[in-house]
Amino acid sequence: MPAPIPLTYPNPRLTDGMVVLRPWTDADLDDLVRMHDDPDVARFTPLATPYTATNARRMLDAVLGRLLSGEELALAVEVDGGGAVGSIGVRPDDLDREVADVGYVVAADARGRGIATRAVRLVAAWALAEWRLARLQLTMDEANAASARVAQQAGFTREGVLRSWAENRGRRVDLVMWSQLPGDR
Amino acid sequence: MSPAIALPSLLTEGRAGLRPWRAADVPAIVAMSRDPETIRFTSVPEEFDEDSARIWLALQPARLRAGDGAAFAIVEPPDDRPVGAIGVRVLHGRGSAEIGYHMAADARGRGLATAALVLLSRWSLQTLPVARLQLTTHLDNPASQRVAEKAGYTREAVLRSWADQRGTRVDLVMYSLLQSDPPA
Repeated sequence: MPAPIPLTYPNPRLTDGMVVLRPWTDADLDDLVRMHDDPDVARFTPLATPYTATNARRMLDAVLGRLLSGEELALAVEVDGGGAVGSIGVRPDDLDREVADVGYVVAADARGRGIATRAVRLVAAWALAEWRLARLQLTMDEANAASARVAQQAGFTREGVLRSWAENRGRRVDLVMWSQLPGDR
Repeated sequence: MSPAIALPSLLTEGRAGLRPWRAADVPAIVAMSRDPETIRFTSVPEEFDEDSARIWLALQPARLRAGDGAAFAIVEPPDDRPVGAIGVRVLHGRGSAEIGYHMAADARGRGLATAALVLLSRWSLQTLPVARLQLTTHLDNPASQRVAEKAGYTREAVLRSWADQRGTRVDLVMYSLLQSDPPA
């Protein structure tokens, strides 16, 4: 059975003892702005720049609709009971429900501690099993070395560079494609 | 939704031509889709019979109107008997489209697939709202890979478990051709 519509939140919450993945709440607005209004996020993701409270408000308002329509499971990444320090989302492919895409962002002051790797491991294991995925993939800019380390440490295999794969702020971009299959880890 | 696609009556390049499918092509469509190599290397459905072919043909005008894609018979003018099939599918929201092709067994090895791919690629980049054309081949289908490379496509990656082929996931080689690539 591929990814269902509507999607549902993982229950119980996904955690490895350090990182907790939980639904977004209105209280996360300031943390969302802090993590997304960032030069690396502007460079490597299609998120708005500058990223304002209005953008964060719109994202929070859209999260439940995107879950119910089967577009995306979006979760806040929390460490040690503090506020949200990261964002992770899994999107079933609209053409192939046995395939999904992962995306993630970690706030600048929380980087370098393995938080993204832990979050991606948790989400990947859950989505591959729960949605019976044949393939979980992620794409990133070739210059995004930190993200490449996360993908590799979380059990993804680099497959190649896909030219003009997506559009980022009106510009076609080449992206590196990575995948993880059910038997990989 | 994309703009509606207008189908040309005939495109030609070298010995190959592309023309729209007709009702009279049904037996040829069925014969080609039952070829063992075509079954092995493409996702043609099992038990694809004349009724399936008629349904497939009947769906084509709606695909054109919705801007979803276009399908062509490959011919060798002036003969207009189909010797192969080629089609393009717009991947909405991605700025790209995907091409697929297969040849009748007795039409292979004469450069017809390459000429057809060159024709459809050129037409697609001129006509469709896409920056990227892509196609996938099986790892063990060197004939199809040669066609892609001769038509100017670049091999990008082996994508694992990329597609479902009659209930089995298959690894496929991804090729692309961009607006900005030099003509083949």
